[in-house]
Amino acid sequence: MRVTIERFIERALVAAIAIATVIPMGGLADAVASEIDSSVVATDRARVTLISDQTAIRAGSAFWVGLRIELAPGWHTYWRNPGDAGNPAKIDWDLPQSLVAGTIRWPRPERIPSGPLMSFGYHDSVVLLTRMSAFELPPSADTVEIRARASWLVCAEICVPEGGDLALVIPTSAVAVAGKAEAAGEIENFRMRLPGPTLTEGAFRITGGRIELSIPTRSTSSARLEDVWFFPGEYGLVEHAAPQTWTTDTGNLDIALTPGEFPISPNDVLEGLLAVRYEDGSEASWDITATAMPTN
Amino acid sequence: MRFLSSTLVLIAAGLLVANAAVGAKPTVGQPAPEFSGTDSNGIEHSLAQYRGKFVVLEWTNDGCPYVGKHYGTGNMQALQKKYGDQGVVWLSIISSAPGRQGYADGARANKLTQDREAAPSAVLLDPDGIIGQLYGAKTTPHMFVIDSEGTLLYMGGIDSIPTANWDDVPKAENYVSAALDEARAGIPVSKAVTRPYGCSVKYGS
Repeated sequence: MRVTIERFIERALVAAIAIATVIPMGGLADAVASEIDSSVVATDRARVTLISDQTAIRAGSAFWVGLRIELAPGWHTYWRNPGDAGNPAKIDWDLPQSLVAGTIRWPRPERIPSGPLMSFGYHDSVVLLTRMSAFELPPSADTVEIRARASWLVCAEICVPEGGDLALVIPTSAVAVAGKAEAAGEIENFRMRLPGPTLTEGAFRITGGRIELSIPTRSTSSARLEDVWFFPGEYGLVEHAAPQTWTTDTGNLDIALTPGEFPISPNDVLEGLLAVRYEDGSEASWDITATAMPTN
Repeated sequence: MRFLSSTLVLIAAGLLVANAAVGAKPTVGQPAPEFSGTDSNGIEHSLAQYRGKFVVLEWTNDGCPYVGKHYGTGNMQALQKKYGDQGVVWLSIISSAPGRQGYADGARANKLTQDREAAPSAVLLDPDGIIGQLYGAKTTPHMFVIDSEGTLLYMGGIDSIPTANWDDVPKAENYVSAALDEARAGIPVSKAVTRPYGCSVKYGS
C-alpha cells in the first residue's frame, strides 16, 4: 500500500513536471493541454510517440528513430517549410554519449490549400525520421535511453501548438537479440517517402516575371509524368499557392514558378523538393538544389 | 438605355482597373497598395489619408496562439503604445470571415481592444478579406510598415523567433520596431522582408 501511494505521488510529480515543461510551448494551458506519459504525448488532436526500427542496439551500428505523429481526422502538421502559415516540428534530443543523432529527415509532404493560402504538411499520420549512430556502449549498459523534448503544431480550422518530453528505451545487444521492431514496417513506409539523393543538375532563370526551373529528365525517370510539384525548402523565393506549370517538351523537365516575396537573384540557390507522380500512380521525390543558368 | 449601357461599360472598366491594382503584389520599396476600410466604430480609413505619417498594418486573430503570444505577454500592446505616442498610425486588421476563428464585428473588436488593453489607432474590419488579399496577408500576425510617403518598407514576421512560446518574446529581434527605428533615423531597413509566422489568415472561401 505504501509503495502504491509512493508510486502515486511519483506519478503526480512526473505529471506536474510534464505540465510545467509543456506550458511554455503555447503559453496558455488550454492551448496546449496534453497528457504525458513517459513515452506518449496524447491530446484530442494528436498522439505522439518515439519509435525505432531496432529491438536491440549494437555498438557501431546505425538505426532509425522516428517521431510518430498520429493525427485525429481533419488535423494536419507541417513539413520543414510549412508553406504560407504554420511551423515545422522541432526535436531537441537528450542522448547518452554513445549516440549521435542526425537531422530530421522529412517525408514527402502533401499540398494543403486553404482559400488563397497553401500549406505543406501531413494528415493522418507521419513519422519524422532521424538516423542514430551508436558508438561504444558502456559494458554495463543493458539499455540505451533516447530522450527528446519535441514540439509540433497541429492545425485544422484552428492551430494548437503542442509538445512534451518523450523517451524510448531500447535494450543493448548485450541483453537482447537484434531484430526488427514492431515499428520497423512503419518506419520503412515513411523511408519510402523520403526524397531521393539530391539533384544538383537543375538550373533556374528568371524570365517574364516567372522563375523557370529546368531539370534534366534523366534525373527523374522515363515513365510518363502525370503530376509535378516543386516544394520550395524555405519561405520567400517561390509563391507557395501559385499554380505551377510544367512541360517535358524541351527534353528537360521545365517548371514555371511564381516568384515569392523575397527578391530572387542569380546568386540565390533554389532549394527544395521535387515531387512527381507517374501515370501508373507511382510517386517519387528528390531533394533539389538549382543554381542560376549562366547568361550569355 | 444607351446611357445605362455605357455607364455599365465604364463601371466594368473601373473594375478592371481595380482588379489590376489588386493583382500587383506588395513590393518593398514600391508604393504600398492603396486601400480603404471601415473600423470597429464604423469610421472609414484610407491609407492615402495618412500621408505624412508612418503606418503599421497588423493582421490579427485573437484565437490564434501566435497572436496570443504577443498579446498575452503585452508585447503587441507595448509596441502600439510606444509607436502610437510617437505619431505612428497603427492599424490592426481582422480578415477572418464570419464563422471562422477570430471573426469580429465592431462590438467584439472593441471589447477585445478593451480587454487586452490594446492601443491601435483603429481596428479595421475586413471580413471579406479584401485588404488581406490585396496585401497577401498570410498569417496572424503578419506585419507591414509603410513610410510617410506611402512606400512599403517592411513586410513579414513580427520578430525573429517563429514559435508560440511566450518566453521567446524578450529573446527575439523585433523586426517591426527595427524597421520603424531605422527608417525614421534615415537608415535603410536592414531586414525588409522576412517570413511571416503564425496561424493562417482565416479567409472566407
